[in-house]
Amino acid sequence: MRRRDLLAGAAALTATAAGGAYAFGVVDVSDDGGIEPFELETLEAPGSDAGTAIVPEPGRVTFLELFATWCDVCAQTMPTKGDVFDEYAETDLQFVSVTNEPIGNTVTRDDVVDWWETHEGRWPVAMDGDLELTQTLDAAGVPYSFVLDENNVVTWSNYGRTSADGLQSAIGSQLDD
Amino acid sequence: MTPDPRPVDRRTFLQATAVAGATVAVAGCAGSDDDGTDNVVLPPPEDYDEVVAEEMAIPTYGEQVPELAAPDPIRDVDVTTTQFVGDSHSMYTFVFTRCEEACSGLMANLRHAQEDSINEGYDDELVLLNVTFDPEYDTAEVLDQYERDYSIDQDVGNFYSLRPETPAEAEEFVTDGFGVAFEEDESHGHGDDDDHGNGHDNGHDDNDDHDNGHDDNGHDGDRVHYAHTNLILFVNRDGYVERAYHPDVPTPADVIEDVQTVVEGW
Repeated sequence: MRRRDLLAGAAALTATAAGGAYAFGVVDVSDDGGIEPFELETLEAPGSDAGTAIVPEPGRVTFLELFATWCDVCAQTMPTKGDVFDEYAETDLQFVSVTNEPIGNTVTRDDVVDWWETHEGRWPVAMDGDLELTQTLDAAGVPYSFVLDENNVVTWSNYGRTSADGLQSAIGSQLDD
Repeated sequence: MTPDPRPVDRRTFLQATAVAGATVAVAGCAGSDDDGTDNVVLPPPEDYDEVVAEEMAIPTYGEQVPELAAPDPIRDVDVTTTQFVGDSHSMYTFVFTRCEEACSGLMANLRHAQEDSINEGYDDELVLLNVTFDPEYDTAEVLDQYERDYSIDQDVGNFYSLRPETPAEAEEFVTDGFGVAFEEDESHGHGDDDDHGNGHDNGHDDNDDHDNGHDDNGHDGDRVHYAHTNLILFVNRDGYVERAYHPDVPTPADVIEDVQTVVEGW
């Protein structure tokens, strides 16, 4: 029983230390308010090479979407994202989808790649295996879309469906700056 | 280990040291004897107010899980909430499967917790229970598909889908028992209907042409909508609430961290 108290104390400390602008802690918010980038594993899939990516990449405007293969809305909105990706393909925009579902037990990397092919993904796709990015963005569901500026400051976010117009306007206003 | 930030009663601390010294490295923590939280591992949630908590409809931190029973039609067993006391920690959430919004986040948290329990080898110490409050639509077949859609591991044996058999029984279990209110939302599609507080711009805009007729029994299926309380309830092996995640849907990393803390601290 005493051990419980000790752990409780440790957990309380963690919570206190985290604090800050984000409810769930562990965010290393830099002076300009941007979030810490994470090195995520990328998958070998259409538009995506196996390896790693820095997400969100400092110095670039980033559009990122958190998704999962079980998520119907994620699948239904892939064509919209595809249209937007095509429109900005020639720009310096970082455009990346990140699955935050657990990979390895009931869902494999191959399952994600199959899903990606089925839904005509054609841009980098990565995995938030440690859930750090998800936690940092405080994303309580999928699909959750974010636009971040060159300093990794979130300038727009949306949970659920996104219209192409809304997405273009959110991205365009950052690229034009 | 760094000192606990809370005020420490030195005598209590010394006693604790004496008791615990033989088995673990000790840091300064006097325990929490004064707030009735002897039965839990986790510290109180941030901004915890015992008076406010007591008035909430949902079971909150340090309270006992209500005793209720409902069948799991997939596994063909009756499950009573208290049957896990003395045996496993448990985690509950409450959804309707046609939900496109917060429910997926709630269910995903259980999915993540199950995965972690398997990966870290504590799947025999944690039970996950998804409870539907829409039994008329959420039949055994629908619930089974729902589990499969979320890639729930159906072989490991620590996941249940509970289905109170009638709307009245659903209300008794979910609302009267767990304080989770739900109501079919006649006007749905206005984006303020699920209080997950993320300021999202709602999941229905693209479908407004479907919304106005409100075809609840029609099987355009997923167009039915309930306003409902978001709750994930994490109950420890002794039957006490470690965390009531509410009203916002938590992110899985936070839930897993809490679960691991309790599993390791038990």
